[in-house]
Amino acid sequence: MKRWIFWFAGLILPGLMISCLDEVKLPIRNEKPRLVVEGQISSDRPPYFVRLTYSTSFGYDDSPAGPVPAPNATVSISDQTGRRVVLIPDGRPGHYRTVDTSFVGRVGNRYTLSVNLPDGQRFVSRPETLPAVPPIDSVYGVLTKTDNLSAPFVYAFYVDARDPAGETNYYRWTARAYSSKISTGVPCSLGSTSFCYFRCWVPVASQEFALFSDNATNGNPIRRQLVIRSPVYALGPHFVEVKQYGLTREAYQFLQRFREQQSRVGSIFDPLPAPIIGNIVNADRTDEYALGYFQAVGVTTRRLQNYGREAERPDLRSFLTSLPVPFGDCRRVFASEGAFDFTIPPPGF
Amino acid sequence: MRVSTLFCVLFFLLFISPAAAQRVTLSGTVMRSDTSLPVIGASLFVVQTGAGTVTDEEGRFSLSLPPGVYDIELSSVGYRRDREHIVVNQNRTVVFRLVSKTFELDEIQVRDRREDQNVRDVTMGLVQLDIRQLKKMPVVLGEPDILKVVTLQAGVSTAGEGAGGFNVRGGRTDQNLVLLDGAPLFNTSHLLGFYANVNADVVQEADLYKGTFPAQYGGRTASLLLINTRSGNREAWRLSGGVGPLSSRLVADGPITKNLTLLVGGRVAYPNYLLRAFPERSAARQSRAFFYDGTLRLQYTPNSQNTLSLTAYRSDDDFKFPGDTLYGWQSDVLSARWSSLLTPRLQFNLQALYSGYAFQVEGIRTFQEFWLQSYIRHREAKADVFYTVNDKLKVQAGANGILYQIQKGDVKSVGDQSTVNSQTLQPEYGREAGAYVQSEWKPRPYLTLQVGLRYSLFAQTGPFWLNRYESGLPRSPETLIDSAQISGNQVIQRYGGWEPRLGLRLQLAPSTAVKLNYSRMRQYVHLISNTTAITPVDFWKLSDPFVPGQVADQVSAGIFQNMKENTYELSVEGYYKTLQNLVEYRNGATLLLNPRLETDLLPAEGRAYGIELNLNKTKGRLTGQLSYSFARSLVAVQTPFSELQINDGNWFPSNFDRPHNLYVQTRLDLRNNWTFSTNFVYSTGIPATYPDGRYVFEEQPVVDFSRRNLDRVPDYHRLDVSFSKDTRVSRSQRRYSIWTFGIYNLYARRNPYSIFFTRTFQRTASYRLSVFGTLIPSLTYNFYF
Repeated sequence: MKRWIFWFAGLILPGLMISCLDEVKLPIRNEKPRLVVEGQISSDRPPYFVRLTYSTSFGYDDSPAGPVPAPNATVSISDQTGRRVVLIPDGRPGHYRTVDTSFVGRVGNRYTLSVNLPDGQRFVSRPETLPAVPPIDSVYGVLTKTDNLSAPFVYAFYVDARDPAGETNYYRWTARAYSSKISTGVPCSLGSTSFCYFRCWVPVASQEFALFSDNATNGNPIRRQLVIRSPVYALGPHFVEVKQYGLTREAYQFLQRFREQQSRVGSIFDPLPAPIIGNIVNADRTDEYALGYFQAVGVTTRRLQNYGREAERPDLRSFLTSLPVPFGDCRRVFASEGAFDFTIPPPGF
Repeated sequence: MRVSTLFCVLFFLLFISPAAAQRVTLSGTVMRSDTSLPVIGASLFVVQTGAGTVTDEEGRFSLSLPPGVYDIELSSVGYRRDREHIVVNQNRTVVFRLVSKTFELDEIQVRDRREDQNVRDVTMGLVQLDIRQLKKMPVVLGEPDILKVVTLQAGVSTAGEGAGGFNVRGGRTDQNLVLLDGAPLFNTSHLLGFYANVNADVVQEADLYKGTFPAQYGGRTASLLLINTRSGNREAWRLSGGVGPLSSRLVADGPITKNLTLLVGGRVAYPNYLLRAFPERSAARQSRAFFYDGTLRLQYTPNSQNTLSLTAYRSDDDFKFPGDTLYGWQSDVLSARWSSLLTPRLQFNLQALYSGYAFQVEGIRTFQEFWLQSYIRHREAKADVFYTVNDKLKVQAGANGILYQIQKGDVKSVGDQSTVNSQTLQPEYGREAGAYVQSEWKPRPYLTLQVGLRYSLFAQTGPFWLNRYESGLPRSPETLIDSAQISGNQVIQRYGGWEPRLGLRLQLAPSTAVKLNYSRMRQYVHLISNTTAITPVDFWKLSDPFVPGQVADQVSAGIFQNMKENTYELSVEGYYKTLQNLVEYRNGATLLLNPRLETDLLPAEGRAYGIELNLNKTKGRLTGQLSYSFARSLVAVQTPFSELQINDGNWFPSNFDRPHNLYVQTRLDLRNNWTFSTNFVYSTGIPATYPDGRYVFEEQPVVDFSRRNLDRVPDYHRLDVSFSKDTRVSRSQRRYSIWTFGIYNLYARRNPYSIFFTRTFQRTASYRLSVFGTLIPSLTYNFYF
């Protein structure tokens, strides 16, 4: 009986149920390169940076050369009083920075970016009013167990802040953390019995794209906003610097769309694939947009030196003892991760 | 003679019947000679006067004539022509019987209702499908399928294998009004489009109006597909059905009492037992598919003037691609009709209808378990009056009212680990009403005019929370001001307007006719559909303050020519359509479960035009149909905000723009009742949005999709063949069977169902999902007792 079923199945079903998922290479239409603008003026002290690149044609493999810079452009920022500062090339092609240290971003001022390209095109950003941002109440870390096999323990750092009632606020958080890693180290000097360079700081970049709008919670405190996860590889402190940005509504919407488009996985809940329209407009043809965004943001920073009690957790201790301790100077061993000597405090601390 | 007198004389001659004597009415029914089932849409032509008419859904007709002796020619698709000689001196009721042409081998398959000398419907773009001929066509897995036949007509296309629904003249799937005994079907397919969800064995007739449709119908802007079920044999019980490797069907119909007939039919598909026989871990083993549908019809004819009928229909589907989501959908339809001949010239119809459609998705991926449901419910009451003024003029009038209830999305997370949040969108309520008057007038034998006017009105009602947004800015969740609570039954927004329907038919020569049509149609429910997802999840939405009703204006013209004594039928039809208030989507829109969906919708105007060429050979051993159409369907989004513009506000191809479509269908009759038939289908690929640039922002690579719908997926084409054997030994044999062996997709082309791009590690990859990876053979057994 079974064989009969197989005969039928063999005859009919392979066609029906092999709904095939094949990778295919499709003919790709190419549009001409467009200007990409990344820039920010904030309530922090200058200098302020702007980066200009060009988009390239689409290809399946990531281009090894990296983004195409736009050098030789004339870049300037002006405020609503008409005061204008020019940005000069920063050394790296496509990067520009302000030099006038008296031009500081102030809450309530309206800022506009102008870019004149060598081919004669002029782009202007739509004016952004620099928003105020409330201070951070506290930053704290919580030791958390994750499902990630290579970093099963992390310090998850959270922010609490008070959202002012009566105004609409849009927030973004970025953070830098420093975790420590251990190696055997090297003798401090020839013949010495004490070891040096056995513990290094390792910078951690934030994997979170933390955006928040007070639409639903206006006036209520912001609680437990996750900003960064710092993996634990050794017993020791974690230093974290959190920046809380106040964004304009348009900047928030831009970053929101950016986050959505980057997180498309092909599920039924995905948004449609789409261009992300920013605020940079061609001065001569106002319905043509450049890519990217020029933001005016209010910033407040908070640093935390986190000395945790992780030694008290047996499961963490057993994980740490299971880690191999590599041989040598930790600055060399972990050089690819940007490690530096533990005796030097991380920048800003 | 003075001009005014001349005018009066002309008026008198043209409009007033020359016979001043009193007229009598000849009314009655046209029935099949073998089963006493009525013949719908049969035409009667009175040779002596040139008058004529067409039978209605109960097979009834009414002619107004001066007393005398007449020859009446009867004809209908699938029947032998008949000529009756009749004496009419007073009002008279008769029954005419037509002999079915099933037993003849030079059968006519699906073809346009063509005018010859009889009065025909002036509506162009009308295709009448003869159900009994479906059984020998190659279709998926050997099962006769109305939808497959519909999609092989010029001007009709689908979005691809596995996409439910069909598209007529570049229109969207939600712009087709599909009526099953008068009640709308919101979903027309099983298994994402492989099978139609109406069992062909219970269908008496299916009429597809591609262009304009009569003023009696409204609510959709592209086409009308009328499906009428059979009413059950009045003489004896009959059984018919079919068995196939993956699905089977059975229909039984017959008389319960002298005046009451019953038809019961069901279909079930059962591929799961075969899927489970596959090895573990194979794609087939992880798939699941099941459906059933059932139809029941009761018809009670207490006397020759009244008929009551009740139709009930239910269909249920479960489907799972190898992956992690299960899909299910159900349709429930109830239709009750009472039709009464008040006087020989006046008929009255009353209908009460219910149609409900629900759709579920169940996500079973770990940490993302959820259960999602959406539904639409439609309740309607309709009344129509048909009056035959004289043999040249018929008038029809009526009204209908609809109540809508829609749930756009309701998701619940399942289990404790799921990261999906539960959310329920608020339901939408609305009502629609329409009233119409229509007349068909034949002032000359060669000229028929159809003039109709419909007025429709829609109101969205509460209970509802109505969102208000800042003016002068694009609508977004961040510009929401507040939500006002509207109580139940209070009107939130109204739309409505006139819908004229005009048609003209001119007979230039015995085998040549020209038709012209103009119509305006309105639509107040819209299907919101994300066609870029790997599998589409659509839901319905009512018009509201942000989404006005759609309006379509269509003009069409066509020439019809029969050649070589009706062996060849040629038609050329051209059309031009403009649409207002189409629903289009913002860049990056999130459609599913969006509680503020209006922030992601944009109004658009549309334009569609095309030419359809159809050539049929209807006689001889080799018969077939060739149709080619060139059809464009374009959209332009209208918005005052430049950051919302799509493609810079220019016209761009809509999701259903398929410029070239070619269908070739042939049937060759071989010896011993064997038939060989082939289908070939070719369509240009549907538009898609591919990435067209790359850049870096905040150190992250970003793929840019700067233009919408300017690319196309690869073209669709396939070839199907089938052999079938009819076991009838003699023509009048009542019990017989038909075996069909067919191969679908003979050269195993992997036609794309969807194309999507994903980013993995350091590269982007594009994937094509094809539903049919290879050829599909099938063997089906159909029996008739």
